[in-house]
Amino acid sequence: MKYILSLIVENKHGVLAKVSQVITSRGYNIGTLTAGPCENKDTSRMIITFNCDEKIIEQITKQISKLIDVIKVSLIDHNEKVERELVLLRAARKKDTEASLFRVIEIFDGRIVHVTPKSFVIELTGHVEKVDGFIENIRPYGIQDLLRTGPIALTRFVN
Amino acid sequence: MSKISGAHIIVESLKKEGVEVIFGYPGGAVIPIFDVLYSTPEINLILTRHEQAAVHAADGYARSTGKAGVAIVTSGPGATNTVTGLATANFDSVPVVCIAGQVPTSMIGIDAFQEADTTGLTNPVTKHNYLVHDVNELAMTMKNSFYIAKSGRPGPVVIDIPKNVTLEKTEFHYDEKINIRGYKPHLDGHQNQLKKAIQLIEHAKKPLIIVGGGSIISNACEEVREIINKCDIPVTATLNGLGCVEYDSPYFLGMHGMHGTIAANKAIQECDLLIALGSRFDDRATGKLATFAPKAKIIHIDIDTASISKNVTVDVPVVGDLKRVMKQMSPMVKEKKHSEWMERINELKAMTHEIPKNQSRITSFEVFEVINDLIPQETIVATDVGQHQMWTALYYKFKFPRTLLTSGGLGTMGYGFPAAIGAQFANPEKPVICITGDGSFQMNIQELATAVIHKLPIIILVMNNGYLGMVRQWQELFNERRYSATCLMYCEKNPQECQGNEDDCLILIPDFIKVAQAYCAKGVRVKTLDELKKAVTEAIHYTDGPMIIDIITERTENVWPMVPGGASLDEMLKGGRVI
Repeated sequence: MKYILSLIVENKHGVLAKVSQVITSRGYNIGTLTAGPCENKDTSRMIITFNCDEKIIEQITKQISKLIDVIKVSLIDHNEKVERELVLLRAARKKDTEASLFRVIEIFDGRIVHVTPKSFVIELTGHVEKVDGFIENIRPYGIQDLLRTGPIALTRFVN
Repeated sequence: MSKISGAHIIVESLKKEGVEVIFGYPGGAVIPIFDVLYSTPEINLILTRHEQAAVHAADGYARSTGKAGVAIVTSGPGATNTVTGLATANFDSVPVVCIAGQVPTSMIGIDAFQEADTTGLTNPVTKHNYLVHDVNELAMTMKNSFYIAKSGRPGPVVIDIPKNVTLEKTEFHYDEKINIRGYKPHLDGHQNQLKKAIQLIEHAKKPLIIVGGGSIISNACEEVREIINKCDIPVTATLNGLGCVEYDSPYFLGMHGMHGTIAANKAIQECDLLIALGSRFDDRATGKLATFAPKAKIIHIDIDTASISKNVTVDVPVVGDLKRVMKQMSPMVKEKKHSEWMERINELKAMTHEIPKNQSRITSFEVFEVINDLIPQETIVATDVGQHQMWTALYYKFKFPRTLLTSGGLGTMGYGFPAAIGAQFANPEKPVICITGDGSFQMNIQELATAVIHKLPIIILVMNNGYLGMVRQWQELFNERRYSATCLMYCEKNPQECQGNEDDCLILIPDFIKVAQAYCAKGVRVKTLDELKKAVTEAIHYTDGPMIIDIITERTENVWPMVPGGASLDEMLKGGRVI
């Protein structure tokens, strides 16, 4: 099962290390992790995804909650969230396939952000499944580089 | 307001926290702090001979009093040497504040002399740690550190302080209020959970209480004893829960787990309600999880949410400070009798394992017969780790909380003696003994210097069998008697050819009596029970410093009963035979 944890943490030295250590030291794997400042400058938000069972996510949540620098931990409900991921990828530029590549990008609502005679850099945001689908459709054209941010997520309503 | 240096702020903060004794070892990065301590008569600075021992001493000070223990060490190796001590304290939830020097902020990250990433190194073995970048944050950091170390589930806190921060000056304000937004321990139990727990207790026919270290940490022993008597519920302790309930209570079954008593382990397997008070269901205590307490509903009261349903899934969790939860529950529980169950408990208590006596050398049981007879009951007993530790748990008669100091979770050999030193500083009026083995004692034997210099009348009982006995026992039982690296005697033969004929061996490596002499301590070797009695009596009256009693014990005695690793609690071994 896939879980998304949303953390509000102190925006301080060493907090990311503490969070990742408490997870890995107990043998759990981080799926993706993104971190950035919150609306207040003295706090940061981290979105961490896990692929694990319910018992493990419960233990992870409790262990993270114990960290002094973690102010709030919430498990994001899959039905109540807005989720986005950004992907940047470099695809090969070939004359004969260029037109169909453009169509794929258009269908997925992606954008070409850089062009060279041999490649395009393409960006796309969307929920994780959309990003997965986009990458699968671009793959036949030849992906040279690929970078995903991992999802960030907010609940739809204030809780 | 006048400005004072970071070093002064640290010492002033320690005074505000009521710290009277700190254990430490100096070095370049902490010279400014030691300089201030030099002219601070309110704080007794004790020089240990190793930083690990300084932390263990602070730990022993904390466990025997409930106050925070304080250690101070220098950067680099000073800080890395504390890791075992911190991990020991962390595992057993002991409030320790450790101040570590650090290279100046301008030199952090350049691989400076005696630089180590102290916060990085101590992250997994502390409750929390700080690297102080700015002298203006120092006072608040000190305040928060003591609060975090002592409150909630206690634990060690490291404050890593760069040298320049100890020299820079600022105004000193020590705020009395604490506000850490990410840290608010739950102290009171949730009413609904309490009601569910009470219901289970009322319907139980065979209830059993487990007291863990948490019962002693939260000073809940009086409340626990009251509920046991009121509700007629038998009780077993974890290693660190010993002393919560007096050994001679009719309800007390002794310790459970791998080397628990037959009565305690059988009672766990037979009970229909298990009430765990401040215990975290350690694997050494539960045996095979799938068959642990198979007939029981489980109530778990603990201050640490993460301890609940971590190993054993429980029916009714209650998160809170045990003392407060017990006080909440006390008026809610009805007086009750469980006559049939208590009858069964008494049957179980009559089932004892075989105890070797009258052998060619002194046996474990005989050692404890002498100790129990001669040592006053308020004595603080520190142990190291191994067979002697389990024999202490099985045979020593614990009457009061905070009288056992032992590394239960981490199992740190070398813990006992420095912990005894810490406890003696905290309790100058109480007798302190250290029960150790010839293996463990050598892991912090250098602290004889500390004990001698401060004239600490600690009695060190070395149960000397020439073996790393606990590992030897496992090798005998599970590794076809292949005694790989467990004999401590000097042997000129290839170890594989050794027939265990000690006449060929020079047994005294080291000769603890000569070691005692080298440190100007008193030392006596005993080989018979009469000699042991005489030596212990002499030691009780000897108050000029530590005394080592080197007890030559049975070489190959094993700890029984024993639940082999991975077996159920009722699959106990006694010489290879299932009880």
